Amino acid sequence: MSRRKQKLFLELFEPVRADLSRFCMALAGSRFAGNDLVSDTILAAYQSFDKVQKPAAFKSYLFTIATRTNNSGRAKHSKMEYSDSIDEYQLTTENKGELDADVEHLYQALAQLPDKQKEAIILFEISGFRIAEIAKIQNATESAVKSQLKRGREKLTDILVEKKTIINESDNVKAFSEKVSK
Amino acid sequence: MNDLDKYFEKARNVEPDISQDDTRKILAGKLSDGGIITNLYHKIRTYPMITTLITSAAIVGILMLSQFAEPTNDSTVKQNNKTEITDNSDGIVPEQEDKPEVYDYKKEKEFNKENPPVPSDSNFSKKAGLNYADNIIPEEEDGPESYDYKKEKDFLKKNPPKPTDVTLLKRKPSTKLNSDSRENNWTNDEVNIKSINSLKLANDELEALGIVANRDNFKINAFNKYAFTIYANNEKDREYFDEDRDKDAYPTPAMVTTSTGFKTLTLFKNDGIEAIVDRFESEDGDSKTLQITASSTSNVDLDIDENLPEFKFGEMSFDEYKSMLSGHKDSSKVISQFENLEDFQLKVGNKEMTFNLKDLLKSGEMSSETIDKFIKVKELEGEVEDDISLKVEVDANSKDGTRNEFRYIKKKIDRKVNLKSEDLSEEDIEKIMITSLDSLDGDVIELVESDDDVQVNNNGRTIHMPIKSLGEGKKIKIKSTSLNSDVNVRDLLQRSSDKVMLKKIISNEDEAQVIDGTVVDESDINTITTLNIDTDKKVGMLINKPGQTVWTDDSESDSNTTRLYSNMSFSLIKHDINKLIPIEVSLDGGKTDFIVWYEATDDFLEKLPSRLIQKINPELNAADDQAEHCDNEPVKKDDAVMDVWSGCSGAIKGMKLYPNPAVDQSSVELSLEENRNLSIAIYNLSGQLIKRIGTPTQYSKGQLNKPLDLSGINPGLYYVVVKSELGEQALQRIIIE
Repeated sequence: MSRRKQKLFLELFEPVRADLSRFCMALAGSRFAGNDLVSDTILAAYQSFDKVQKPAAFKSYLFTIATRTNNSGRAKHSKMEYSDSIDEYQLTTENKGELDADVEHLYQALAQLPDKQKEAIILFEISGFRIAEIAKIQNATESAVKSQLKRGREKLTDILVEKKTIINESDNVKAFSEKVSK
Repeated sequence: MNDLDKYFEKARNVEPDISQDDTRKILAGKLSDGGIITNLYHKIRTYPMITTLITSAAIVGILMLSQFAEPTNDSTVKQNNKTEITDNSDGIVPEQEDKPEVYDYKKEKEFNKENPPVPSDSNFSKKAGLNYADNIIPEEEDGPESYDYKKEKDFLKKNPPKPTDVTLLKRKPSTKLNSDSRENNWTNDEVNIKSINSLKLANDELEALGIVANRDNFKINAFNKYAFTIYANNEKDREYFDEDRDKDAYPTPAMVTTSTGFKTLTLFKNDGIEAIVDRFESEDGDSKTLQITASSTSNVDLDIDENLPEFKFGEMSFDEYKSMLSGHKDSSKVISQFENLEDFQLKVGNKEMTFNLKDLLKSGEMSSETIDKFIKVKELEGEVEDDISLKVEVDANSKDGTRNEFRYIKKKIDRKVNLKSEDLSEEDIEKIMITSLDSLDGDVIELVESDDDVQVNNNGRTIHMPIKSLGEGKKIKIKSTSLNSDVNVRDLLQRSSDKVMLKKIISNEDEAQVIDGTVVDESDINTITTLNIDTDKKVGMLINKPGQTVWTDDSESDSNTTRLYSNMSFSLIKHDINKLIPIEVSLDGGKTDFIVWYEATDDFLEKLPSRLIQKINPELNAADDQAEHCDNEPVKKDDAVMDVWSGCSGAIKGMKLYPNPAVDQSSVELSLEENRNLSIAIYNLSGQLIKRIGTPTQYSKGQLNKPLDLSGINPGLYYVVVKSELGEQALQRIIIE
């Protein structure tokens, strides 16, 4: 593989690195699993990097791969395998510290959502994708994404409200509708 | 902002864990195909000072050496060749149309007297009994302190540098390019054969590679199991290492030849096979016979299985042999039988036996049919990496000579796999080439229903792929599919946990279609590879590896083929000899006696001095980038040690040879972009014509496939050269066994 390819890849990757890292953590539910997902995603993306025609499409290409990798990875690999590969890549030698308790709670709540809902929520709320982009990544229609987001948000509110008992549900839905309509 | 949004806000601001450096590490550490280059890249980045020093020293050296390069030509090589040719009584009279230029030793001596401190051209040093590298390297390492700049300046004043393309390590070919050759009668064999630009290393640098040269012999490392000694008279010896020796100490070369490629050829093939190829005269003095001795060296740890049954040749039937093969975890046997070979060497455990098949037949213990069972590979399966195997079965009907390529990829697999029919000797087997990765786009295949296998219809040819090769973790068994349209193989990999996703490609619009699939318990999938052995054709080579079990199932065999099963892949992958890196070895520090050829593996490059790595870096890059010759644009590099760009020239594109290594027969394949009158000939490594193949013939543009009759040529390494009337010239290395 040429240095050219690697250079180009790194150039495109750098601007989305932080976003991807956050996305993967949220998707996988922890720093640990998130890092592994990032490295798997990088490898998979680099492997078929030649498929990327337009640099503009790189971000959604990367997130699509991350989503897919997460789905197939979770079904197949045990946690043990993840830790093995972490050792191998030596990526976790720098521990960035514990996550904020609220973030941990959010991750836990997200883990209780169905895959598609979870993905849609993370892509929309954390990674800042537009609904049309999410529809492409999820290979679904925009209205399907919208309803995923709506239901996901409702559920998250349930989960987090139950724990905290402070959130007004209707406010949440309202806030969401406003966001979507923008 | 409501409370839920606060959570999201926090999640949006989590500090990312993966740094830019991590990204590089992932790419560099994990991608094996990026390994060599990436590592080099990092090394060069890490030590910019050293790099700069070496580069500047090398440039100064080149400038100075270029002053002496012209008059010295390759008299050393020629002397050597001459002897070889005389010895060669095969009836081939090598043509030496270009007389070697008479070398003026006196002149050189005088010249040398005048300019004593200046390191001289390599041939010159050799004559003086000096080691070139010994002279140059310390100078570089000592740096500016010891270097006499004034002297250099004076020297350069007296001898201003002339533009020249002669570089440090280049040895001029004996047949020089006639600049008027385009206009002249082009059939006069005045071709520009690039002689081997082998790398020259200092003694300590050779030792880092495990090469130790003495007065009358030199030793190389072989498989980290033994030192292989080659004597000046071409005799060989083995000396096993102590068991506690560092196992990864040295790289094993791919082969060893003499400086001209002649004489005995020693090949170190994959999986610990050492093959010595030699021609000897039979007792009646008339005919010459080819002998290939192959022995496995992967069995040094074999005493694990002390109960390994003794193989009694002549006392065992084929069935007994088969039953012996099965059920032994650590069996290691070599069965080799070649076209013109009657001698047969086999190693079981630590017993090594040589047999003669004719004697065996006479004894009646083995019928001719039995022997013929070790014949031809019809179906082959290559293991790409640990967790994936790839089986390709080709209908033997398509005999049209076209080259069909089928490519298959899998995630995280980036190693190139070549399964070519050159591994086979049967003409009705199509040429199969399987490469991996990036070149898949555009391959359109059709999937049709099958029990266990997906049948892939590619250009009218049916390929059976076991389902296990499609899964990248889970094994997917497709129960049924009615899909009948074009499918891109790449999309097979994009599946969710329990579905196989196939994307139909309909006029650029992607339309996903889910094919019913179920997940099969992994334990149901055996990683079994099979090898069909035809009963009436030439013999292939079957090599077991430690831990490999081979067995047969007679119920599945028919009268024509025997199928062998194995828990590991059969070794059919060979070195790409055009990408081997030659290293000179001199026994007495003078002329080059032998060339040791290495594959550009990480292990090897690690031990190679960095100045040489820099020198060959463009070639490494090119070799890394190209799956095939001529994949990327040729770069002008006169001192190239790898033949990465030589397979094409002008209208001649994509020259390939198969089989290679070859015994008596091979074929050249190329594509012509214009009509051309082509001549084909075999040259040795120093550019002497060995044999013409036919007469110059006019060919119309398109694919060209021409058989090469190699009979009568001594075993060794050669160039097959294709030249057109316009002076276009493509060449490839060929091993003749």
